[in-house]
Amino acid sequence: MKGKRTLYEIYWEILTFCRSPRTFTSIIHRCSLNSKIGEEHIDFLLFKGYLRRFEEEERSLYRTTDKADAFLNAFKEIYLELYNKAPRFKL
Amino acid sequence: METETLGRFNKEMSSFNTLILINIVGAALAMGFGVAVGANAMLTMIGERNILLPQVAMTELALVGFVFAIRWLVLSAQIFDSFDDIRDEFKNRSEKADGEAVTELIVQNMAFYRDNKSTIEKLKLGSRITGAFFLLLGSIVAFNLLSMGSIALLNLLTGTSGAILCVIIGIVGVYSPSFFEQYIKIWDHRLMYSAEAEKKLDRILEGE
Repeated sequence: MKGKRTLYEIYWEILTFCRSPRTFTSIIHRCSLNSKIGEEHIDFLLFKGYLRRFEEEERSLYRTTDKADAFLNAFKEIYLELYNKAPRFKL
Repeated sequence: METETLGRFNKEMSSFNTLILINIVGAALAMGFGVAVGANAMLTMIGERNILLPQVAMTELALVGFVFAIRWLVLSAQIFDSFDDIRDEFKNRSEKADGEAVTELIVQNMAFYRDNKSTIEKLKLGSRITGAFFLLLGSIVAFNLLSMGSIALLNLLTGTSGAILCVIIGIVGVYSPSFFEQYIKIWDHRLMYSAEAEKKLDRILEGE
């Protein structure tokens, strides 16, 4: 995804993308991040326990943990609410 | 709730897309018409072999209108291009109407709005200025027609249809910013709410 996003939106995007195991390169590519910023965000999510790193076939992969569910569910509810709460746009 | 939100998305995106298309058509008509009016006024002066003040005024106004119309067209095309990516994503995501897909669409639209807010503001101003110019041009064309007295039927028909077209472009230009204002107001409301929501998300991240 491209465009200006908040920190929380980027975390949400990384975590939903990593529901299936992903490499570092695929994460930064999918989330349109440079490697330095991507590393910072992934490190933060690893530190929080929302992401888990593991090795598979000599590749380092990342996967979202169950601990992230509270954040992901709250994010989804809040964003659905903020979208529906605003008046409708129509011509 | 997801299906309802998706339906709402569909309607809002169609409305915004139609608004941009109206602006593109309006800008293209304004450009073409600016050239036509300017060339016509110049040809009249060449035919008369004299500098006629009303024709000079029309040529100048048409030229200014043409410049604004180009700007209006470029901005509309930029927005159309960016929004087209979102529409493609919507088509892909709407088949799978789960919460995550809908949330992603919301995040994507918010990113689009943050990226393009200043362009939408410029588009609003550009279309209003172009609209005002074409209303003025339409008035001048109508005034010239009325002040000419006797006039050939063909000239009367082309002049009248030109004035009507000017007024139509002018009305579209002057009126469409109100829809952009409505769009800006709605998305600003959503952004404001998202700033409040960040506090909640921060508390979750901090493990409270």
